[in-house]
Amino acid sequence: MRTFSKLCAGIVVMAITLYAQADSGESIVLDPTTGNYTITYGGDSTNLSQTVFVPATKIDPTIRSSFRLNERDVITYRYTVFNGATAKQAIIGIVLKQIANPIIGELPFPDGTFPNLIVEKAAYDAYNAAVKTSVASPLNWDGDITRRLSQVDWSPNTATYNTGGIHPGQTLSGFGFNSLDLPGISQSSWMNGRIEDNEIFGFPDDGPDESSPIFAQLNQLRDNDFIIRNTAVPMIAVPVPFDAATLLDRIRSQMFTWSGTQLINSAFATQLDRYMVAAANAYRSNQPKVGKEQIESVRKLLEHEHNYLDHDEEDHEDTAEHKAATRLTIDRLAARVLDFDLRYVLKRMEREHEHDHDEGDRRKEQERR
Amino acid sequence: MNMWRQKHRMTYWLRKLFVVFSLVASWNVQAVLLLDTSPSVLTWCTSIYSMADHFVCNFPTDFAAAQEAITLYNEWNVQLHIADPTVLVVDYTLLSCDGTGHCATCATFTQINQPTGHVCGVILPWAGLMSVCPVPKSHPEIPYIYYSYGNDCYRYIPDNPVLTVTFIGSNEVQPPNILPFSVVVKDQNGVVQPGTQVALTVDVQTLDVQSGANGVLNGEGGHLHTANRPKGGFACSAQYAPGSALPTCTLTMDGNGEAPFIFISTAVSGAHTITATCNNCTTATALVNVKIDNLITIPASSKYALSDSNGVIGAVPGKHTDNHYLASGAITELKDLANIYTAINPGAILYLNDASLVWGGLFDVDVVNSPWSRPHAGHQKGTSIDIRAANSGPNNQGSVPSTLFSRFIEEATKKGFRIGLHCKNSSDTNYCLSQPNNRHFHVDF
Repeated sequence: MRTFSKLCAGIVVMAITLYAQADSGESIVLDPTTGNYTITYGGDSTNLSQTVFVPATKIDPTIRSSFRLNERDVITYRYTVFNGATAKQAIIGIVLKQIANPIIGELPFPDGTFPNLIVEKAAYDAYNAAVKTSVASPLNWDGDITRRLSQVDWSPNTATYNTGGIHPGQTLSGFGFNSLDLPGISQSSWMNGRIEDNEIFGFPDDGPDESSPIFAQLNQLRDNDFIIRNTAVPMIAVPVPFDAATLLDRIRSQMFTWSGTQLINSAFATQLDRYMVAAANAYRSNQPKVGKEQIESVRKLLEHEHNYLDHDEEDHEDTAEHKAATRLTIDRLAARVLDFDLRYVLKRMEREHEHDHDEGDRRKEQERR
Repeated sequence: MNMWRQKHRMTYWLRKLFVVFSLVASWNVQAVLLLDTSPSVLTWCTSIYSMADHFVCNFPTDFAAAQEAITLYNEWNVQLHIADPTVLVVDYTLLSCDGTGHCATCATFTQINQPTGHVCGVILPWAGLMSVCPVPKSHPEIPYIYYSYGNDCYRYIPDNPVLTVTFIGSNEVQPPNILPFSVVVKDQNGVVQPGTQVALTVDVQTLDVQSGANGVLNGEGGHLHTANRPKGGFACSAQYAPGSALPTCTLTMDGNGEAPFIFISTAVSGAHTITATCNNCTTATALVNVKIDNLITIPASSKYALSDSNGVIGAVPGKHTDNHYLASGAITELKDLANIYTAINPGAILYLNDASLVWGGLFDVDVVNSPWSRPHAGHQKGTSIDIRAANSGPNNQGSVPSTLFSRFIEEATKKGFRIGLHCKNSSDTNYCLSQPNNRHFHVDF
């Protein structure tokens, strides 16, 4: 995955590096030594202007996702971030995307909506207070929720902003929140590094003209100034009242967003999907035992690919040999997420069955009386 | 009245024959003549007084009816006087004469114990038989002749077509862009006119199309400096090659009486008038608004400032004084940005400089040296704004302190904003930090 994302970034970089308008002299050129881009453009004067763009991607981030179900059907999500020793910047931005539904503790406005736009100070202060209680952050870090962007994000607080962050070689835990939604994999979550004061991007004039191709190229560079990492985030809403077949369909839909990426082999996804369709049909036909068997078949296939998938709190790494053997079938995080979601279905069905059983016993007792 | 008509009957017939003969003689014998009639002014007279050397036509006392009738007779100028009921007054007030023996006057006739009346009369000398007829607007060289029996006026005119040019196309385009048009030429019977040549010109519209705030005329696109505003140009067909715009066009109508062309706008917003002329045509005009639609003035808020102690931030008198327009989505995001800043600098608010002009388009900040060029980069579509950052110039009130530059940029970037520093007249590529003249944040929404 890391190799793939680097490859993608490299392709973008190459495309931009090679860009040049021979007649106007405008260009964006990457310096492989520094990793910075020199932008040459038509500025305010008749001469060309230059500026340097220092990307915030000189980090080597790894994010580990854990997700645990507690007795109230609440799922606790926790994240640990590691910055590789070869990184040149401290990680100061962590953004988890595609979190569409409110997390536990995130308070709505009195009218039931969630704030995308806060204009009243009292409401703003109340919202900030709610965010602090709903988003877990390590010491000296602040978490925030931006509903407009379906994201939860973190950065060092004001007091430590200029010196804090996750420096090269460091690991930091304690990022997280609770949710009722099951995990899926966000393929657009990202992290970025700190730009020093003398590296803040700017133009010595008004910059390139909007109609210039350089303008569009530069915006593309700036809009992708981060490193993406696959992260498990709450993405699958649990139907209320609970319906196993509906939930299985949602899990299947999530799985198919991985197909065609490095997360799962398409053929393997199809194989798993057959069992999941059968399970959903069984639940619809009120055949919970058959449904359970089909789900267990999926879990066995996943277990064959990766060990210890049911250890939700910690990510027990496969051995290097096992990783090499299974990397083309399904990614370990994808397997963990899928296994967790399927176990959730089984647990809820078991509870529903016990509840029905108890109800049945109660009715019989009443009739006997 | 009858005596007057009898007196001129013979004259009527002679004149009629003379006009017909003249027309036939002066044109090809195969020329077609059309009979053109018009009611005489006498038809609206409520009464007529015959005097020794003139007669007086009393117009209707209904002022509205008189006004309506006047429109048919463009050479008359009539007013009504209000009578004084206690006085018997005969007051002839000469109002106007058109130089051909036609004079309009109003007289007040009042008798004691009679209803008040007011009347305007036309003093018509006997010699002017045609004076009771209107001066025609088309073919004015051929006058009407009065026909007393029918109490109307008539003449014969050649059957020349009166052509109309019609524009077909939209009247709004974003800057800079192309707007396809076509023109159609038809005669008065709706028949298309192939082969007709139509000349096109374009000019800037100086009239107020829609008033904006602070007296700004939207028709000028929000620019108070109007000299030499770019007019745009044409492609004289349905095809346009970039860089080939022409200032005028001469089009030849095809078999359908139609010809396509393209209006090419510049990056400058504003209203333009395209004029089409041709022989025997009524001139046609089309108003084209070059604009970014639906830009909204940034509303006042406690989260940011649009003015400081010197007035509207960024306003330049005589050049651009109304500079705070954004698209509605950008305004929503602006408030998010304001919240971000408040979170990292409690108690402080953003001071907002240039956004876009009322109709967007090129925002020429260097009006003195290079008007209509050197735009604010990215301020054309209502999706950009400048924010005060600490700088070495005189405008520092409320600026973001330099110690918060990194933090502000990072927090804004995390929330999806594209933000960076701009400065002015600096040869320093070190990101404006050592040459902070006119330094500001530029934000793209």
